[in-house]
Amino acid sequence: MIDGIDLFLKIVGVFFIIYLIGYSTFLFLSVVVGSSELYKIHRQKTLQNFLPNDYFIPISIIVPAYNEEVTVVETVKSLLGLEYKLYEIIVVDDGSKDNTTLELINAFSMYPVQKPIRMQVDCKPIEYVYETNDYKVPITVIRKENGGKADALNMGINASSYPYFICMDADSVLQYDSLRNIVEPILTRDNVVAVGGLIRISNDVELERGRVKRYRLPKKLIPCMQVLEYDRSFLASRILFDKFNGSLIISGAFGLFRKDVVIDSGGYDRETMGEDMELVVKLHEYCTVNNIDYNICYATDAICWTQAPETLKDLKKQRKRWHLGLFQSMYKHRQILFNPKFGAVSFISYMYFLVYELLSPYIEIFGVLTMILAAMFNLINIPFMIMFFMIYAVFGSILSLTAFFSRMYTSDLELSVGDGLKACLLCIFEITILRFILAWVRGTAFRGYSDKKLHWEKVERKKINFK
Amino acid sequence: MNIERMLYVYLFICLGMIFFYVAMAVSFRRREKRTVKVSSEFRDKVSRELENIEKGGKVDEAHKQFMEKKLKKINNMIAFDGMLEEIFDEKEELVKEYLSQLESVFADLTSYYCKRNQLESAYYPYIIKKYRLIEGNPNSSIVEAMYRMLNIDYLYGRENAMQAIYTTGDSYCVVKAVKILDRSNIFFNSKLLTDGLLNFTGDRAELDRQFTHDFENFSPEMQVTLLNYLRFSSGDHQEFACSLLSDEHRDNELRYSAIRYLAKYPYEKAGELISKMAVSGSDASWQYAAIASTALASYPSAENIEILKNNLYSSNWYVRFNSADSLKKLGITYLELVEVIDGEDRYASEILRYRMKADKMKTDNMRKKETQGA
Repeated sequence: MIDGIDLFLKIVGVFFIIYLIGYSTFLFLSVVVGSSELYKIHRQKTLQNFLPNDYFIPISIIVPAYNEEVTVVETVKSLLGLEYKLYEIIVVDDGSKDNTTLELINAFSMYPVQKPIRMQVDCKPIEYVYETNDYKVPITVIRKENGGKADALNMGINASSYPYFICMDADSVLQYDSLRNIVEPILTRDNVVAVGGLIRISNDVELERGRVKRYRLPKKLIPCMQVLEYDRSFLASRILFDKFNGSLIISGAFGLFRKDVVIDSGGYDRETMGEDMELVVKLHEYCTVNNIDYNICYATDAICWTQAPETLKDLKKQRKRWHLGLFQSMYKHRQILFNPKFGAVSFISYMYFLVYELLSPYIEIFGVLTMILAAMFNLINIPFMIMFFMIYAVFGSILSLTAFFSRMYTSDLELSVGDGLKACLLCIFEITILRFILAWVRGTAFRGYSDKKLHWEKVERKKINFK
Repeated sequence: MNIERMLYVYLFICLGMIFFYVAMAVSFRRREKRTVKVSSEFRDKVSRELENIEKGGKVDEAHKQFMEKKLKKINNMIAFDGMLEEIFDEKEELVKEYLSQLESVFADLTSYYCKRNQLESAYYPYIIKKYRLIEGNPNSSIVEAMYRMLNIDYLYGRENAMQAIYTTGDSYCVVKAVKILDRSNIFFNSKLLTDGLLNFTGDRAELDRQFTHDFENFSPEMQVTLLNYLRFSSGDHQEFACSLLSDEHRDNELRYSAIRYLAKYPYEKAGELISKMAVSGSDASWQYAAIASTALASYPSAENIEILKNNLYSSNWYVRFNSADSLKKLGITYLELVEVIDGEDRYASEILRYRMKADKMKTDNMRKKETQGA
């Protein structure tokens, strides 16, 4: 029996070696490619390699809202302050139980209209529509029956007038130059169907008219660690995926899409929790199957500031939702897996999300159980295990810090010495403790799965700290 | 353990990168200081030359040689740009004269910058454009270099080169540049060209004339771009647009663009053709009907109003929407449309009500603002 267990442990050992080589290589490449790309972009800007400011592509900004009476007016005000000429704002109130629509009507003196809306993608019926043309750009608020975020976004797509639309969250703030930067890939690259923006955490950041007035890391630990996590994603891995047109996610907080392609592919899936990822994976599938040349890009200088959950409870809720969304998107578009037609999207992007995102909590739990089994039969080298864990922690921390400090190329954010030290200390905590807590949360995400369908995430909203 | 070693290697490289960032941060600071120092050195030397020019003198040859040597370094060019930017507003005419006398220096720098990496070579046409170094000088060797840059596979380089060419003020140069772009198979967004051409500061009428004269020598895609540009440039080409619209062998996109041109600049001879196109027919021609319905707002007549009223019942959403919009623009009143508004077709009624209400709110708001202003 011991021989059998020994053989089993050896096989498991080989599996984990391959697993870790793959993961560490991916992280390493992400950080290296991300940093060099950010440096290149920084150099481009120094050498005036950018388009003049006067090219405007018409954009519809869609803001889906549910019980957002606290933040929605400020969000629309911040959108009116964007340095861009040609856009419209459409707020879709998804049957809120609070005064989301009323707040907007009062704040912007909106009037009711019977706007004819061409229903090109499925969504729940309209209750009423208000609009105003008294501001810099037209503002429309559509009150509809409750159907979830994807349903609200579909309504926004139907009501939009322009060929490109932006989806964003009602509690987010777009940086003053974000529209100009997010449309740039459309002007510089051919066949662009979607562009993702860079999401930054706004907790404890002072913003004035879409500009950062004072930057600091969040005071609370939970959002502060998420800064490190976001940087690892937005300043490293997403840049790597972008290099081979392999992005599978554009954050729902800020993304630009070509409307006709989204409509042709069926719009947002109303049955999926991770509607943002599902749409991007669907675009890959739709364009590839129909032999449409396409590019899904990432604009590192198109910045959106968003509020991160401040409590572990809220964070756990958010991550459960993300994990379920990930599962639904990947399962729905499983034809991409091992399909040579999809090239790198299949063999790199999809595989990465499958193994290192979707299955990783289970693989990690399996690893822990195996260690317990090995310890029971005295087949484990404890000092080696501790050393290996230490190497892993230091390696992960260094990668996080590398991504974190590569932000020096992205914008004019002044980072204090204190914040730098805080990041150094927290990265170890993030990689050794928070990661495992979140792995457990993700691993148990399927409990109560069917009940969660189509529900909006309930996270306590605070007034956004901008003027 | 190989994996252990591999992780050490990765770790070492990442640590190296962090050190690199620290070094870069220090280097940025130093570079800033150095740029200030070089800028100051340039300012002293250039100020002396400006004084000399003010007294009627010429730029010293030794200074030209000094500048040519210095400006080969990209960081010195950045410092030079920063310095010029500071003094440009104050001494615009003198600086322009100084730069025109430095033309030979920049001409010599051309070959040097063209050989550099894409990022750095794209900075050169930016400087040429910014200080209008080839304005009124279409025969300069710099212009030839700008043509060559239009073929490089780097959009910012091509865009900066194109912007520089616009500053020549010479229509021949611009037409030649557009032909180069048209022949190259490298992506160049048509919006960059349509909007960019409007930056041309020379004889716009002559430029437009050359485009229309040479029209057949451009690809169909470029023809659409040029007609879109003409629509924003001038209303003198109605006959030309009408001939494109009448030619059924032309590309659909080009004919759509022609309708838009003739909507902006109404042309009597085109009216009948546009009316025919606006009649909502088969699904295949709905684009013509939709665009022509918009255009009919510029062609008021009883027949056209009737066509637009009928289009309110079209099966195509865009045809209905555009027709309602045109009826509103033509000033058709509620009473004249009561039949449709109170009719059984919900879509037609809804769309008209919306347009009328939106129009009324706009008028009310304007009145309100006027009252408040008074």
